[in-house]
Amino acid sequence: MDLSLSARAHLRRMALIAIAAVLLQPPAARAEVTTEYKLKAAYLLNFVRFSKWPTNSFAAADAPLVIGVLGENPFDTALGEIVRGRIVNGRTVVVKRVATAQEAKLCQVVFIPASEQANLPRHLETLRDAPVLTIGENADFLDDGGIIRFFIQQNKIRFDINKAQADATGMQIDSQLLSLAADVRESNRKKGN
Amino acid sequence: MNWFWNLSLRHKLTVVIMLVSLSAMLLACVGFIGFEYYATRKALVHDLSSLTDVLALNSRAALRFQDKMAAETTLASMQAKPNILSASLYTSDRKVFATWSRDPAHKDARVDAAPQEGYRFERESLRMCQPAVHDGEKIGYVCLESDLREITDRVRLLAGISFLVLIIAGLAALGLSAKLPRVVTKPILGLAETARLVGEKHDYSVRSDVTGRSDEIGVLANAFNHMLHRIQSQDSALSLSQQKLESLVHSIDGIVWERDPKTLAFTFVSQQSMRILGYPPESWLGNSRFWEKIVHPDDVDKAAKASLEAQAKCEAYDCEYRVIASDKRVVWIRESGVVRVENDKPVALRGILQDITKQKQAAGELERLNHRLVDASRQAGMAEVATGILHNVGNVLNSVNVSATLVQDQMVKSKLLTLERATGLLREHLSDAGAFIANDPKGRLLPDFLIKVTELALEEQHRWQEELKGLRKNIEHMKEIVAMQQSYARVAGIIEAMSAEDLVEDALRINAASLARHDVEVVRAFNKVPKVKVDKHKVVQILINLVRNAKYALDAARVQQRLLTIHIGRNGSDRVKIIVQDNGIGIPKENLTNIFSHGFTTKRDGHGFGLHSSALAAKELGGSLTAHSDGPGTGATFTLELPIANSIN
Repeated sequence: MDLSLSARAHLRRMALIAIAAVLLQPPAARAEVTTEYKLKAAYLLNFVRFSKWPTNSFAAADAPLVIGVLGENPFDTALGEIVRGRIVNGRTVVVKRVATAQEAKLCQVVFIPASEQANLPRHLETLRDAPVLTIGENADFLDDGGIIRFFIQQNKIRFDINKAQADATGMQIDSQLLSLAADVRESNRKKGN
Repeated sequence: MNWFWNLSLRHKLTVVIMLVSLSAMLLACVGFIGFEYYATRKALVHDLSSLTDVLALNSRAALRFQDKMAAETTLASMQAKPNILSASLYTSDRKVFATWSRDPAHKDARVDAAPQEGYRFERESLRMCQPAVHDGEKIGYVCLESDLREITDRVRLLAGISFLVLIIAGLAALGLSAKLPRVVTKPILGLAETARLVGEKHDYSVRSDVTGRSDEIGVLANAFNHMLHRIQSQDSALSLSQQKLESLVHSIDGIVWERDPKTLAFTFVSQQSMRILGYPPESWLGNSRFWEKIVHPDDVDKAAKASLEAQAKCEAYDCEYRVIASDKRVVWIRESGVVRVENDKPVALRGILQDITKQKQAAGELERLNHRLVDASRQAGMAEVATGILHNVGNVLNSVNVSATLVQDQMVKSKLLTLERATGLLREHLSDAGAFIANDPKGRLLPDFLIKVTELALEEQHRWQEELKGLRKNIEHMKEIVAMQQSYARVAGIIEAMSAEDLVEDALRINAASLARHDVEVVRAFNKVPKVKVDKHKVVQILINLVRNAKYALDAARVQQRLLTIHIGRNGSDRVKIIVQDNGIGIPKENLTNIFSHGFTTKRDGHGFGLHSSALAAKELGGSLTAHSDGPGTGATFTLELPIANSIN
């Protein structure tokens, strides 16, 4: 009796959640914008999962892993939602908006959206020696000293990795991740050199 | 299995050793193979599990990034593992994500639609599915399918090795079992050889070698030797007692024999055969028809029949027959035999043949003597009867004589003579008869005289007639006595069923005259009894004797009334008794004991044979004759007992 009662209650609760989900669905136009970034948010988390930082890059043993979004936030709440409650390598993951590259140095991951195109070389220059996984969307991102660059190919999100840069900062990128990358840059050279 | 029991001990041991070692080996091999099969399976599961883990690790990024191509590339790495048939990845919501198959043609057929965690053996493959976990999060499933070649290969290899080992071990066991059993069989064979020697030569002095052995075979050999020792001593004791027995058997005065009940051949004949008949025992044993040959031709059938009948009934028997001895003597033999029966079957005929020639001769002599005695007795009896008859006839003749004399005397004194005188007177006076009768004084007396004489003559005739009638009666009586004697003389010796009453009456009739003369009153106390089976002549003779004796006893006694009482009654179920009792002088006690002995008599003219022969005759008839008296003056009682007709065979 108790079981069936509680089961019924559970069903009722599930039904309410489903109705709420339908009602709270965002408008279609906006959703279109966020599909790419939702995916990118997921990718971001996965990048974190397959990367290792030098132990001194964390303030404390139980300090959270911080993903910083520099400048304008294209994820809206998607990134926050995706990392909520996640634990990677024993650490909680938090998303933080940062205004400057200097501020971003304290994060483990920094996403630099395409909108920061103009300031990109400067940002990356600031972050060049810090053990921060820099992820960007601009074509010259790796040439400028970034580590992972998103790009769209055949309607699919793909990425390149600048392993040399990662190695230079003392970070380790899982070989599995490397194998998924479209291109892995083993030496630090500039495009066009 | 029969062939096995017929094998020699050595081969038996070899077979047993081979069977034991081969079955042990086989069992071990089966165990090993079974274990190997199990272990290989386990190892296979373990290996596949590890491989699945590795694949899961390697597929983490592909799963995380949902990169199907990368996933397929990872799965394709299984190409390097020849036992892997197919590999597949599933998303965390159990949907097929990427697949790989060694045989591209069956790519989809090989892959499960949804992952089933754990492992399972199928007919030709092992399937293993494990979740891929990253950061404590199930990100998908990895499934692998391995063939079972490793198991079958290993099992096959092991089976091959086992087979080889089995063959080599079998050969080794065969080689060893050919040698090893000798340790065991040699002493046993030695024992068997000893037993064979004992069995064949009956030599109980041989012994089995037991030196330095204390195992079971040593114990056995020791026991065997001990047994031999005992048999040896018992054998010698047995042969000693057999010798004793044999000498005893051979010294028995008679031919001890044994025959086979089936063939009737003699299996043993004692040495007395030589002494009694002059034939050596060997001549009986060698010839199955020897017995028929030596038995008197007239007795063969009778003797053979007796022994066969006894054998059929399994009874002891006796028969007598004549045998022709080797020196043509006729020897009377009594054969006594018993049939030895075991389990209701005759197993042997045993007995003894005794020489009874002497007894036979003695018996013949006795019989002759007896015959003579019986003849004498019969003659004596007949004389007795004749005496009685003569006496009776004599008595009657006396009466006849008296009657005749009387008649003669009367005839002489007859009145007829006076009648002659009267008629002579008449003849003288024939011419003047009338005047003479009328005038003459003599003549006048004549008519009266004639009348008187006639009356007297008639009276005389009447008397004579009476006398002659008595005379004829006496003569009839004599005729009757003679006829009775003749009838007894004729039926003598025939046994027949007779009424006791008739016998008594016959005896009384013969003595009737003398009994009457001596004023003896006969009292008949007859009870109804069955007929007796007797020789009539003999019984009547006995009864006549008894009646006559009684008559003498009564004659000599001074009693007022001479009584002869004859009782007839039954004695028991098979006898009739006839009691002849008188109240005469009686018998003194001292005489009662020898009253029946030959030559005893109390009569002046007696010869002492009557009672003796009577008693003998009674015995001969299967009856008895006894006497009783309380002493002188008390009378005597003689009891004759005779068998009832139906009680005699």
